[in-house]
Amino acid sequence: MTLYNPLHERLVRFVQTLVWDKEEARDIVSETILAAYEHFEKVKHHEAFLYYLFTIAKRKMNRRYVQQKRQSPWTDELNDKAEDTSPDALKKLQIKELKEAIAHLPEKYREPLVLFEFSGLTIKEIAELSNLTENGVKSRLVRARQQLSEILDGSLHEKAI
Amino acid sequence: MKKQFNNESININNLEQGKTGNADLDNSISNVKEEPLIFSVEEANYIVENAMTNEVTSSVIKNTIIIGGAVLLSAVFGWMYYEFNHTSVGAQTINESTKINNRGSVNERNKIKLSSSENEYSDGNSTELNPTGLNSTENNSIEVFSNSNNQTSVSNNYTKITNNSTVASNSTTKSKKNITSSDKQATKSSINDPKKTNSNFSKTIITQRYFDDGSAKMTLEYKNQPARITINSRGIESLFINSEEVDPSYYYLYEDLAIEAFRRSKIEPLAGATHDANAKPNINAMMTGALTRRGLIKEGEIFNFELTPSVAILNSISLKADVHKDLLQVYQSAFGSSLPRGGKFIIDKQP
Repeated sequence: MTLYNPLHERLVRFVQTLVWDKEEARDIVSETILAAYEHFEKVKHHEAFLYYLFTIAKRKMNRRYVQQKRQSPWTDELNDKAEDTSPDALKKLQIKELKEAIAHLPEKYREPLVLFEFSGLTIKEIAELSNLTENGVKSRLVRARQQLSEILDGSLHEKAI
Repeated sequence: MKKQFNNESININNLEQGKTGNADLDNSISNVKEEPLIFSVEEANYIVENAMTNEVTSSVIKNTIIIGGAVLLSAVFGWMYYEFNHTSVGAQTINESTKINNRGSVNERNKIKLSSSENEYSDGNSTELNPTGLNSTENNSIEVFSNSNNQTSVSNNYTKITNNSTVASNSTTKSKKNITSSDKQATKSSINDPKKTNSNFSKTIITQRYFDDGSAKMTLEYKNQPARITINSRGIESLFINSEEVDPSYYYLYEDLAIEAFRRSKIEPLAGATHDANAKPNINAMMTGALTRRGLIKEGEIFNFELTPSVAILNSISLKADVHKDLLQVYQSAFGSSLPRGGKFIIDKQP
């Protein structure tokens, strides 16, 4: 746990930003932790633990996403599942809008953005994790931010009309 | 109130976290970052500690199984050696109590009492026995072969045994289910509402795994006890409460646990949450239920339905491709294998 504890918040933020359903997100975190523990011997260097942990979380989320796609229709729509915990209503709305906008981003932009802005990973770490160059990550981040702003502008514009 | 994205502030070489150049976006990002964590470090530690305990327990169990297996094997060989050398032609009675389940592992699910005598067989012929005369069902009957050998002849004794205890317990289950029908109604509504939570559970799932065959296994805390449940679309495959396997006839007592497991795994309980997944599936009923849940038919409606790998026809109307795909998935989950090419599944409820 010495290696895990400093990364806990980063991991949870990563999962809870991408997975709206609270229970679902909790399941993914717990599964990730367990899988990381079970195959810990695969980690050859302590520095690699971060990549190891986030790679497991990414796979778990992808798998769950595929699973959900072919599962039962009594799964709620994403919109109904959005669950935020902040008390302020405006904040709640902003959070919901932002998460919706993030969900609309293409996957190649979504992940680096969440890792950078919410999990606090550095560009170097994201590059290593995503198997990209640092410049590649930077350009994706810039495009992700631009698209995010455009999506948010669009939703506000629609509401104004 | 249109947001302005300040392009001048974008410098690809100087990206800073939380500074996008759009004040509103920055504000929203900081709001999300201020959200409380859904999972605490303490919970993470708890999971790892629990996994460590499980590991120790499972290694102990493994050792026990290996030693037990060796002892059992030597006993079987000893018995076979004795039988080979000492079988007499006169009447012989074998009394055994065997514990077998559908998957071949040893547990308490089916108790089979075998009693055979050599008077009841002849060379090469098989005799069907039903000691109590009760009707046997496919799920509860087990065929046992017993070979006997002596110097003059080789005989095969083929005996069919009925598990009467299971029949009895099934009837008990039925009556108890009637008593709790109102409870069932209440739980049924909670199946459809994934947001409802049950106070019998801790929020932490210790493990949750999905398998390629569509089943899911999870360990969670139920009424302050560790519960391990394996489910698939047909119901409960196995259930352990406090490391003790629950007999399928008592699954109904753990309906809330089963519903929670289905809810969390997002698996559709085709035959009801507490159905024994190892029992023979009633695919017609499962498909009818699935069609009802999808709003394609009403409850009790008379309909005809045809499903092939290329099309799904309900009341002479061809269903959309995505619905067809979904129903093929239901069929596969219910039947255990996909509908073969050229195969057809039909429900005809027209009068």
